[in-house]
Amino acid sequence: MSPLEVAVVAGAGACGALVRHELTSDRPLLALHVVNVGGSLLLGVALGLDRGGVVLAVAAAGLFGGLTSFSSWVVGARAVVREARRPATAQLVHLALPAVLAVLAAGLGVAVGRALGGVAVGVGA
Amino acid sequence: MQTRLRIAVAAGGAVGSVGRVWLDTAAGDAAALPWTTLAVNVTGAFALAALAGRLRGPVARAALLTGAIGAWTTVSTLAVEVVDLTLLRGPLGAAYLALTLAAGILAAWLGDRTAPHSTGPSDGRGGHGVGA
Repeated sequence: MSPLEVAVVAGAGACGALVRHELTSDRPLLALHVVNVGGSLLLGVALGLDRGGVVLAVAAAGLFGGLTSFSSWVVGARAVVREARRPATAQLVHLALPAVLAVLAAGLGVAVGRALGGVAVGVGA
Repeated sequence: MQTRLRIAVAAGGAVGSVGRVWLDTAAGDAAALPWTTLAVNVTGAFALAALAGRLRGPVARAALLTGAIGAWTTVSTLAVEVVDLTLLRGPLGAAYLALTLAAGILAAWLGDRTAPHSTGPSDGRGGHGVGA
């Protein structure tokens, strides 16, 4: 990584982590699910656009990677499942469903990004 | 206090993100599976579970747990990689997602076992109680 890429990722990661903190701190785990699914959608759009070169790609990885958090999700979900009256339902709601939604959101994001990129190319041509 | 917590989260987030992206860049993308993302997510889940009960100060918790470890791991990159794998290799995408989840849960369980006692994230909240 070049010094510019390190600086861009550091700034983007700081912003992503700060936004996650503001949106999820002292809120139920559901808030983190929304942030994770939303971040997956936005990273999909950014990568689907396929513009701006390496710096934009690492900035997106820094920003949306810092925004979303696998560790907070898994550790939080594990605690909720452990204390749930219906563990199977809690596993479905807090582990399986967020995973599927994040992947669907990323796929939708890539498709939207590619469509937007295609439109932009068409306009500029 | 809130300002100090925010600065701590941002500083930790910068370190965690740079570490993750640097590792991903250094490892390259020649492997059949995105092992780098799997590795950061599993190690992060272990570290968060292990350290949550040890760290006491709110600023340290904000910097290390919410910031550094939170940004070290990623759901967005995982999701995009599952999409890519599914499009290129079919069922391997779902297998990669299931492997990551299973390994992450196992790592969190192991981390919890090493902790002196279970606190912090066991409140079931995303922010690890750092704002409390």
